[in-house]
Amino acid sequence: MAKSVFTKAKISGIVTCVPENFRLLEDEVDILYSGNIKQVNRIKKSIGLNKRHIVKGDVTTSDLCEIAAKKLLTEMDFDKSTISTIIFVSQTPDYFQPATAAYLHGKLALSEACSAFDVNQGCTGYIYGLWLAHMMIETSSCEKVLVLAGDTLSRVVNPLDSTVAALFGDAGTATLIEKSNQEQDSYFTLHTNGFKFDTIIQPEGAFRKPTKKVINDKRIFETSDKRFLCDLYMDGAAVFNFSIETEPKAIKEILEISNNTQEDIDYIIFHQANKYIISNIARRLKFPLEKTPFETTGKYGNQSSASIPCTICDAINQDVTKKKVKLVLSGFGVGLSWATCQLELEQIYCPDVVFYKNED
Amino acid sequence: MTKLELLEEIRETLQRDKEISFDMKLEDIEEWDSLARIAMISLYDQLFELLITFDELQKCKTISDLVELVPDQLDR
Repeated sequence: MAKSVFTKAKISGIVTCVPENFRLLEDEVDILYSGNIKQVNRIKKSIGLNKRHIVKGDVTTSDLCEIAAKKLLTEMDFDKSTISTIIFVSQTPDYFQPATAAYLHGKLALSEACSAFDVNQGCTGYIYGLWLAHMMIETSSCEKVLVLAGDTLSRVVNPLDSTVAALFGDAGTATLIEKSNQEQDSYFTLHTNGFKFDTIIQPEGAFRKPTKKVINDKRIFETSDKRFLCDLYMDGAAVFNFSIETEPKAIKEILEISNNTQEDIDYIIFHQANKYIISNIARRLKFPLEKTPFETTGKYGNQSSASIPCTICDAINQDVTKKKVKLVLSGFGVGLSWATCQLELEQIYCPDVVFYKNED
Repeated sequence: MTKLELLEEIRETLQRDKEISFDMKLEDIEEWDSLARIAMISLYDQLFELLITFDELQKCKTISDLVELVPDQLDR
């Protein structure tokens, strides 16, 4: 287990950008559920899906992150040449090469004295980004680190595939991590189960040919006009089982490391897979649901690496901008991977979600 | 919990208005889809702290098979 304790870094700003364009579950009754309104209502009621904000046309994750980062840089008004690393966390980069972080470095006109790289992570990605940034500041390698986490999974799901199409939303976020003047404790744990690499996968599109020799889950090859090998595949039931089994343990583990109890924590922000998964995890933990925001998926869709920062901006920004809040953040998904951290946010810059408008 | 009480819990989990019975085939139940299977996993976790897998559910053919997944914990 990768386990870290840091004392020198703090988060000072979080901005989330979401496309203005959206679709409702009702819009999909005919396309995805062959007119079965009863089934759609069950999905709405139990899984909590409703609306999802998705990009139009060729808009990419980096476009959304760019808006979020520019707002953060403008409103927080500091010398941006002090940013010495930019990390782009995503499953949906602009290019195989160069790193999208380099493209964004140019767009944001950052200093040449700045490292830039991508991290290939999804639902766990935000924690990975924070972990790396905290580590860099802890070793005094950097004074300020910009983490840009986001995904546009609506562009990798087949719009006819009822198992995933109605689930995902798009978003880009920007988070500033910097050196703290006073001691600031934060704790991280990160895990991987690579034997289950094909539980959530885009089998085709990069350099390995998807064959039955490499891929364990043979259902992946049962393609049709509703899912090609280049489209995202997810074994939803396996993810559900994995989440409710792994996440309660991950929360208990981080509290053991920080020597805190559940009562010490103001909020647990889970990756917003869907309302159903979150409420099941909270019930297993016996953690109060009102301290576990779960409405992001119904409002915006499952936003992969952006879901945790989006939930901070959307559900608890009144708290984090005004006072000191102790949080546990936990992501789980593609990899399979899961990662958890405990940290404090005190009067940070955290505006309401901003919207990306398409230039028509 | 008795078998009959569990039957009622399963009916509610399926969000089905019509009656169900032990000998009913799952394939004949309109509501028995992937969503219902996930709801069943959650129900058993909630009632018995028993985490059943999707594969175990796939093997069930009738409502009785679902009930049999937790035989030891039910009052006869």
